[in-house]
Amino acid sequence: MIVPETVETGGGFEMVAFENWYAGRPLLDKVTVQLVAEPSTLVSALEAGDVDMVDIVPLIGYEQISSVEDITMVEAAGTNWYGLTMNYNRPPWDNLDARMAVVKAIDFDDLNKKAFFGRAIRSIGPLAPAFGWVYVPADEVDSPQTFNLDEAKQLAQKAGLEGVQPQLIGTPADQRVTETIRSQLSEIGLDVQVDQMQTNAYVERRTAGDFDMTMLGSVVDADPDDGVWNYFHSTGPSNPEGYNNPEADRLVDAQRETADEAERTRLLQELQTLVANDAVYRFFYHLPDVTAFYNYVQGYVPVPEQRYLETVWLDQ
Amino acid sequence: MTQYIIRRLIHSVIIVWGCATLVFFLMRAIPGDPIIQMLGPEYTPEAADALRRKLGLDEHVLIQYVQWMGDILRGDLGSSITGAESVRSAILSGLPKTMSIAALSFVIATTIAVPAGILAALKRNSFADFAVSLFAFLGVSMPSFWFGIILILVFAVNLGWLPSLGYASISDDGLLEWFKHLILPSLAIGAGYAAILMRFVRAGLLEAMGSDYIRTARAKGLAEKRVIIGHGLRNSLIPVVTVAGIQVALLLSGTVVIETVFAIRGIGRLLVGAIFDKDYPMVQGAILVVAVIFVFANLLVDILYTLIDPRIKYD
Repeated sequence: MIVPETVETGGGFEMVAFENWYAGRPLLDKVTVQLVAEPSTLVSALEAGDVDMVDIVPLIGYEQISSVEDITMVEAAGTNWYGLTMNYNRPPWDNLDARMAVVKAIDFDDLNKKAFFGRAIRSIGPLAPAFGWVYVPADEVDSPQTFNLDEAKQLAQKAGLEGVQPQLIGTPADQRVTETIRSQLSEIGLDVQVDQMQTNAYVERRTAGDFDMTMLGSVVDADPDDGVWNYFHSTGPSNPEGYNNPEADRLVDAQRETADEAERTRLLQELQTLVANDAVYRFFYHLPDVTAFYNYVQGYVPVPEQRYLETVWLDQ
Repeated sequence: MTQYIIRRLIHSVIIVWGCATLVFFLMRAIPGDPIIQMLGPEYTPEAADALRRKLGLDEHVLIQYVQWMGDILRGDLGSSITGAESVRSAILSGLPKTMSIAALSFVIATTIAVPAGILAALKRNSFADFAVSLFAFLGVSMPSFWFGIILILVFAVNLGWLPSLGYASISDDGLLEWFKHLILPSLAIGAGYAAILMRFVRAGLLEAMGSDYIRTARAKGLAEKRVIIGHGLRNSLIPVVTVAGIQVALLLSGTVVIETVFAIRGIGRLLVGAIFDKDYPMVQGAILVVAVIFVFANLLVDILYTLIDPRIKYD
C-alpha cells in the first residue's frame, strides 16, 4: 500500500510507502505521479528516460515505444467497452429500424483504422475481454450489429432517415470517432451534425438527454455489473438515452442476485444479446490496457486497468 | 511622475476589478454545470442540490459575487470546488513556474530579436536581411505547441541533452536543473515572440537611421557604433518597448499551451484545467493574478518611456 503525500491539482502527486501495510512494506520508498495531458510528450518522456513508467500508453505511441529495446510493454485485456447510443426520447430513434440502420451502417474496421490506429478489439456488447468467464469474442458469434451497408440502406429507407440531421454530441477527445461516424452515416442519407464541447458542458447536455446521438461506455470495471447496470437498467445512472426494457431490467437484477458464475454467465450473455438486438448502442470496441516501463522496473504484476505497485522495485 | 503613477495605480485597480467581475459572471454564463460532472454516475437531483448547498453555489449569483469580493478584500481567494487545494496555494505553486518561463522567454526573445533586427536594418536588402526576415516569418508561422514538440524530439529524445517535461525549483533542485527544465518551453514561446520583436526593431531602426539627427551625429564625426547604439537604436526603442509590453500578454497566453505540452503545472495549465472543470474560484483567482501582471507590465512600459525618451513627461 502506497499512500498519497502531496497533491498538486492537475499537476500530479507523490505517494510514500505505508510502513504498516498488512502485506508488508512496499519495496519502493516513494512514487511520483506526473499528469501529462499531451500524448506525444508522454511518449517522448518515456523514450527520453525522464520517466520510468507510463500508466496508459497513448494509441499514437505504440509503434514508437515498442521500437525501444530497453522498454517493456505489457498488454492486458481491458475491462472496458465503448459505443454509440441514440436517444429513445427523440424520434426517429425510438424506432428499432432507425437505430438498426445506424448500427449496421458503421464499419468497425474503417473506424478502427481511422480513429484507433488499428488497436481496438471489435465488440459485440458490454462484456469485456478481461472478464474471461463471460466474454464472447466477436468472431465467435453472428452479431446483428455486423456492418452491412445494403441492409442499413434498406432499414434507413423504411425508417425515413433520408435527410435527417441527427445531433451527435461529444468532447474534443471524440473528434476522430465523430468525424468517421459522420462520414459513414452519410452513406444511409443521414446528415450528422457534430456538436463538440468541453467535458462539463457535454456531461450536462448528456445528463439532460439533450442529444440525438452520443458516444458512451464504461471503463475500470471491477465486475461486468459495473458496465451493465449503470447503462441498461431503466433506473441506471448512465442511461441518458432512456432505454427501458423490462426484460433487460429483469436480467440485470437477476445477475446481481446470484453468486453462481455459470448462472451469471448465462444471464449476462442473454442480456448482451438483448441489448445488441435492441440496438441500444452500436457497440464499437474494447481497448486493451497497455502500460510501458523500462526493463529495470521489476516485479510489476498486471491487473487490468489497475496499477498495483507494492511488489515493484527498481533494479538499478 | 509620482502623481501619474498614483493615478495609474488607481486606474489599474479599476481595470483589475472590472476584469475579475467579467470573469465571475462569464464563468456562470457559459454552458456546463460543474456539479453534474463532479457527481458523475452518482448524480441525482437531490445529490446535486446537496452538493450545490455545500459549495455555496445555491445562493443567488449576486450574493455569491458580493461574498467573493468580500473574501478578496480580506485576501482570501477561496478553495477549489473540484479539488482539495486552496486557490492561494495553487497560485503560489504555479506562479513561479509561469513567471520563470515568461521571463526566460523574454530574455531569449530580446537576445535574438535586438541583434538580428539591428543586423537586418543596417544590412538592408542583403543576404543577412533576407535570412533574418525568413527567420521572422518562420517564428511567427510556427505554432508554439508544434515547435515545443519538435524541440522535445530533438533535444530530449534524440540528443538527450535536456529534460522533456516538468519543472525543477531552484530551492529543491538547484539553479542548473531549473534552467535546464526551462530552456525548451521558453524557446518554444520565445521564438515567435522574437520574430515579432525583431520586425519592430528593424523597422524602427531603419526609420531612425534616415533621420536628420543621425546625419548630424555623423557630421560631428561620431563613431558609427555610437551613432547606431546611442542615437539610432535608442530613438527606435519606443515602438519596440510598446510592443514588448503588449507581448507580455502573448507570453502569458503562450504559457497556457506550452505548460500543457511540457507538463508544467503553472498558472496557464491551472487555468485551463479549472476552466474545463468549471472550478469557479480557481478560474477567478488565476485570472485575477494574470490581470494584475498584465496591468502592471503596461504601467512599467509607460514608466520606461520616460527613461528611454526624456522628452516624455507625464506631469
